[in-house]
Amino acid sequence: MAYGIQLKNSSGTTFFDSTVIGGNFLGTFTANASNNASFTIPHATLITTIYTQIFMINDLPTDQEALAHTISVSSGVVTATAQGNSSQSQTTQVVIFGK
Amino acid sequence: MAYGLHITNTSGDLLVSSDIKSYHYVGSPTYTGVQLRYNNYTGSRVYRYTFTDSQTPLIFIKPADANKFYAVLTHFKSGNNWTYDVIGSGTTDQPPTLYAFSALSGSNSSGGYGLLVQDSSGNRTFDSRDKPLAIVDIVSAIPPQHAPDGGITPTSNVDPGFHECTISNYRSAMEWDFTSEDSHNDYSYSNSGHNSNYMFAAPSIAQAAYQRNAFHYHCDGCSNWVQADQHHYFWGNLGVFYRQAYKLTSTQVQAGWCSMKEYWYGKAQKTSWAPWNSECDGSQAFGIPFSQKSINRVSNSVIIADSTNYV
Repeated sequence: MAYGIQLKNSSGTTFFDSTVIGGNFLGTFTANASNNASFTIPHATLITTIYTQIFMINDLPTDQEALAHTISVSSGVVTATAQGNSSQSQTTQVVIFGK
Repeated sequence: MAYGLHITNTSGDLLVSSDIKSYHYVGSPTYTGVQLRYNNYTGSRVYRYTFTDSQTPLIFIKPADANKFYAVLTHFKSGNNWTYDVIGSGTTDQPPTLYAFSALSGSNSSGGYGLLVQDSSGNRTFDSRDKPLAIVDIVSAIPPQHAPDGGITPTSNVDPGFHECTISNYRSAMEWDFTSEDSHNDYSYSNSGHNSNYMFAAPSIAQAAYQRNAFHYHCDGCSNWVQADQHHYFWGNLGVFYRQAYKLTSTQVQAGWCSMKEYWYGKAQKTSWAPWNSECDGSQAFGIPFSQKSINRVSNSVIIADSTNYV
């Protein structure tokens, strides 16, 4: 490589190469059931595209109409908005990535 | 920044920061067995895993079969103990291998060389000795609106005829293409280094349920005054519940569905002058939680990485 950073394990195998890394973890937060929550991304100006991944904590797989929060991103702030009524709304984990 | 370390790529995108705790490999959740087997249509298995972590780890799936759909179905938390149910398509047991990643915690790792990045409080944010997550690519994916390969089921009734109290004989007329092999949206990813150890993190958020309805009525004797009127009824419902799942091929992320449970109800009834009334229920209440729609169907990120680095 002409420039950048490569990290190798003790066997000499490269496992982290800035020229091919396809994204980076930026933060995570929990939005409790029936409550909204938000998270400010550090150094958001250094991220071209922000991606979010959501999953529900402690939801039942088949027996209810479980609703995750909806996610919006604006000016480096990720906001999770609760959906449905109290029996439908679930605790949602939001994981934020950039690339 | 006033101090610290930023590593960016040639596009200026942030890869490592002393202000952000990067994800690092924290272990492989323990497989404990199959929780659910569903063998109709495409079929599915629900595999259970356990893991201990004080934080909320990100779970990657290394597929046991590259031709099958997988996803983390549920994340159950009790204290620091996590239980994961992972759905996989198909009618054979093929549990995938899971890999867990969390933000760095604890004191310095062993090893005398590498790259260690700390924040202003001296907490580690990146440590090459603790196997940081190296993301291959991220794609935003959403499954098709309707899970069955046959598309959305019609809401009108089908007439299955009358088969007395042999409730199972009513089912064939209510069948639909409830398989979910072909119902997926496809996304390409950066796959130049693809190998069989590629893994992905993609939870199952979306759910879908579709059903067919049946009704039958006929009367023996209603047009014959010498014969007692005998009314024959059947009411039935057949529904399938799906969860979102993903297939990782050498070139694509496929966002689709797994059929994981079915609901079935049938009731036949004959009414006439007593004592010829009869009624038979083939099953308990139908019980499908909703129908003819998918919920939580949003674009969700699929994170792709190479598990070779973490074996």
